Amino acid sequence: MSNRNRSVLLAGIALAAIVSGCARPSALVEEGTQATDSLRATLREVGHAWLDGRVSDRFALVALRRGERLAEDQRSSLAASPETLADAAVAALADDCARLSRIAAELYDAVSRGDRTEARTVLQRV
Amino acid sequence: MRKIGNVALGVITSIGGFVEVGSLSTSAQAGAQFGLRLLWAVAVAAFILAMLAEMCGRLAAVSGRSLAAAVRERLGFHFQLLLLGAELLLDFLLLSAELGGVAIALQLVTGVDFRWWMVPAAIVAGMILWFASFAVIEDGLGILGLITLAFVVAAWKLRPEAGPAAHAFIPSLPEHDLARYGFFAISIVGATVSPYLLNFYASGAIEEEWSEDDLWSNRITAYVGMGFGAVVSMAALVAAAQVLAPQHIRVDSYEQAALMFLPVFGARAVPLFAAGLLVGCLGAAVEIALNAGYVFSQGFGWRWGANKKRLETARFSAAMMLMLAGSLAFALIGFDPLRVTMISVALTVIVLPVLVLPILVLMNDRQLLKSYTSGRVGNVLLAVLCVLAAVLALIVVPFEILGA
Repeated sequence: MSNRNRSVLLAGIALAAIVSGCARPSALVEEGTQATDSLRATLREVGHAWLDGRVSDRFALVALRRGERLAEDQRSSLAASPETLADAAVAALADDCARLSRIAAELYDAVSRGDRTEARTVLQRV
Repeated sequence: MRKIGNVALGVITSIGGFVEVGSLSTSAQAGAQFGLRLLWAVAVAAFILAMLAEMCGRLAAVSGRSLAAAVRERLGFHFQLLLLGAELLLDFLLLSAELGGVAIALQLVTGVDFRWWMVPAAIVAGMILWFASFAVIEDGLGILGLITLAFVVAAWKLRPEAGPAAHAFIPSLPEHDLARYGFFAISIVGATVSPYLLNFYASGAIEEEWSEDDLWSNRITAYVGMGFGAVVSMAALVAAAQVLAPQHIRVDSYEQAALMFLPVFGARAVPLFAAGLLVGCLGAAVEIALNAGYVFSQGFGWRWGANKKRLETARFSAAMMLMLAGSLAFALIGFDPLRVTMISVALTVIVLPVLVLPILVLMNDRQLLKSYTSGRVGNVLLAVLCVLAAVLALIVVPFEILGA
């Protein structure tokens, strides 16, 4: 490998390292915060729309199941490696995702039983 | 009078056929995350599409050749193979995503898992392809697609402020998330300037036997039809910006996208959203599979035509049915349709230069276009687009990694 090629390769590796370095905890936290905020708002909107009769049981169940899966996926991506999980903010977000996933499951259960009182109680915890 | 009626029908079907899984999802995602700010990207993408469609229509009307046939004839079979490979790969992925869109729409209203709806969706698309004439496919599905005007109604009723909306047509950078903003801007271009639309449009011109007398109607259909079609995409962006962005709801799923209709349509919101998604995606699925038949047949010199009996055009028919079956098999693996859409949109941007450059060459070929070759303005615009497409292709990969 010529010196010039080696320099280009090293510059490429350095750039990749900078990019991946920048993308780690701070970017993960920012992305994770946006994703959990979005999930929280989605659960709230779907839950209230179901209580108001603006969406059918079927749609509410599909949307809640999907929300549960998105929360799980988000938690998995945050907990993908021990290094990222060692960051306190990332770990807190992963816990938040797990909590949202449980809430989505509980809301799903309440909707599938047609239990509006239980759904209201679960929604207060979102 | 009949010609004016045909032009009106062409414009209406362009509006109805504009929205499909790519344009809908990218607009909704962009609106939910960046408010009205990316309206300019939809406008630019629509202008590019209209310009390219007008050129392909002109090529077909004057020379009697579609884009694929003209590339094969003037630029050689080997270059044609490159183009064929790129276009078929994109069509394959996009067709999977469209079948997924139909299936998700049915899931939204029935509650039955979308994977169960994939095969019925493909069977319906296959039956339309087998039994319907070009006019039924183009006009019928286009008119049904007018249900997507529900997005325009929603945007209108949500009353976005005129000042910020007008300001959003001037490109500007966001204060945060530059990578994601860039990714969405590029994705909107990729979703709007779908290569299948160009060859489909030119092939349609040949199916309808356009001649030099139809150049004015070609221009109106391309610019007015697609311009109004883009209004539907913009409306999806506006509705998402007005409803989802203030609540910080991102569009990571179609279930979240459906929520944008709730404040306007109440209990009818989800069925209406699902109907728009279903018709838009079914129409696009049929057009993409039909285009696969066109591209193969025109590339290899087979007999083709949606108005001919399917058994008389056996290889053309087989090509579109095989494309449909292959895409169905891929969709059945269970990939998230929204992710497949975003991948196909990013790939479109990567191969865009390979698709645009031949148009620039062909539109200056006097043997094909006689005195209707592109003028200086058209050439400059297309040359700028070639350069822009090459730059976008280079930067889409880092944006895909950082922004998606």
